[in-house]
Amino acid sequence: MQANIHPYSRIFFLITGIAGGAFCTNNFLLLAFWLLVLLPLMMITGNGKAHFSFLLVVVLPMSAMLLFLSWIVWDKSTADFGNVLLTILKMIVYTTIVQVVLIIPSSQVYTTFKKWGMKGDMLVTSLGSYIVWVDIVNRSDKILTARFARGFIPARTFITRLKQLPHLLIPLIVGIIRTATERSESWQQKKVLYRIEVMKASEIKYNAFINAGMITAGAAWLLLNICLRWK
Amino acid sequence: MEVTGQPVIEPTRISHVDGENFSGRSAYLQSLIKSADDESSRLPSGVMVGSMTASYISGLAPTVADEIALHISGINGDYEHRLRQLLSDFSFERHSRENPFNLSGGEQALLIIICALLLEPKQLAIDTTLEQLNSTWRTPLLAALSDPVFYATNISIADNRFAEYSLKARTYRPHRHTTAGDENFSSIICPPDIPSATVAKNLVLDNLSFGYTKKQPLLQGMSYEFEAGSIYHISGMNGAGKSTFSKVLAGVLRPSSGNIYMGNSLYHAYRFPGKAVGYSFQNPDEQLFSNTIREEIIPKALLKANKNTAFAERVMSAFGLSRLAHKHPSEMPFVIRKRIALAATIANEREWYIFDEPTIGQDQRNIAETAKLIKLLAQNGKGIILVSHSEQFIASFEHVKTVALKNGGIN
Repeated sequence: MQANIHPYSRIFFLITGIAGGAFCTNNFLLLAFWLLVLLPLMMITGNGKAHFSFLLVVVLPMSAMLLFLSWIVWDKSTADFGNVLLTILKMIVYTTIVQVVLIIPSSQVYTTFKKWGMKGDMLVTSLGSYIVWVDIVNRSDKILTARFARGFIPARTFITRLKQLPHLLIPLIVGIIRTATERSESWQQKKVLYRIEVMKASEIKYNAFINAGMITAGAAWLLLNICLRWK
Repeated sequence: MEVTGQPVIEPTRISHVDGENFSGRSAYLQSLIKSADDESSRLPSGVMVGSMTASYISGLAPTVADEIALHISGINGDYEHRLRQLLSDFSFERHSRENPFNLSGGEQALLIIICALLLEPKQLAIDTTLEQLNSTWRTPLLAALSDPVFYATNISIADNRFAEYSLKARTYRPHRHTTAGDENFSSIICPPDIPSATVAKNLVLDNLSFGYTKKQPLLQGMSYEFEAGSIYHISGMNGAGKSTFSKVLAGVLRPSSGNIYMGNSLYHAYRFPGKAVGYSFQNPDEQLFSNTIREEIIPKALLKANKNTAFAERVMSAFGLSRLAHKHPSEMPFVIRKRIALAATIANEREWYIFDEPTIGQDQRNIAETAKLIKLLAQNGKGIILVSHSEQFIASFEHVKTVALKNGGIN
């Protein structure tokens, strides 16, 4: 299942979500917001797998490191543990909000950025960072494939793959630089910077229920935290 | 200026920039584009597309449909109709929601030419891009290039396979002054013999299947016996799975089911990638890793293993790379990089070789010598699998066996 989120809903949810999180000092509330709002949103938008991968690869090691450091440096009091937990939960909530807002289906990227008011170089840079990433991933994959095909990687283990990193970098960087030079010439020839400004944004049908839910949840989250902070 | 053949629609609109490798064709095309350039105009005046197809994709459009929309934006609305017609002509609608970078080399080539054409520049230069297209797409594309709707665009094509295209055009041969270092760029010269210690066994596919996702298998239940010492041509539409098939054989991709046998023994291609099957990719830049051409062709691993490097030396010499041995592969022009990739694959001494578009960018003389070299490898007992859209190149092999990929199977 995949639901289309309106660009304005995205930006509203980003602001209210982050602001609400900044005011929040309650671990239970943060956990509840992640479990009841953010997680369902990630699943509904079809990004559940990406979210859990991110949690596993980025957030979990960072949290473990934070816990370890606090265990070394701080007193072993419950209050200190509560503070560390608050930091970890805020990290989870913030990164999930950013994921909800910035994981944009490729067919909606241009429309979303245009609705956000991006123009000129800002628009080009933002679009490029979204789209060229696919090119870089593809290239890395092809280079690794080529090393397998030439018999340079004798076994398919994590360590042997890790050892390929230096060999991957040279052709990757050379390829990217070569492509960048040719692409910039091509942009100039095609007057792409003008074309991108006048390009017609595709029409997208947005899910009213999901968007209304996002706006309501974002607003409620912010108001609740403001009220709890200054009650 | 030499004029050949009878023009089809507009005799002066399409020109063929003829010549050998390093005769200055690309430089001539670039000069045409520069002279056509009009910085004050918001409409493109001169547009060039080349062999490195990914470089000519804007990188700003998340889907194929958006890439095309980007190119027709700000241009006469009538083009939208023409665009739909073009997509339909090439059955390209199914790719409209894909990221352009995920397309195959041939599909990218088609996309960049269509996009460049839709811009309706005064001057369009196509530098060896057409070589990557199969005849099924090439024919309607050439018809589109000749279409009067694009009457305002002069098209210059530098292409080593131009003779295969049956496209009437005036021919122009640019003249290039020789410069220092030119003598280092030699042609490919097939040696009288290229003896190798390894001899291939038959490559047998038993009910082989593969899919990038479980729901959509790309190759299904393939059973076939490739005989050692023979030359095979894998044919099929762009995107039919030729490269995927090659990667499964080379052990880069794991088959979802079925087995590969080398002679009578089970060959664990995926567990030992590149062990018995060498694979030369279409894009050379993805397979060049070393700091010098010599290191690329005679890798340190080969020297460490105290293996006989005479075969690799012969291959390097045959590809005309001996004088450039100390140079960095990335400094070389595309034609030479393609040769280095081919030479490095052959020099590894495998039982079977898969060559994906081995002649892209090579002129007629070098294509003929590459064909001779491949024949020689087959005569010496190696198995050869070719993936190429050049009918002329494939026809130069007297006993080539064609294996057609269609609907995920072998026909």
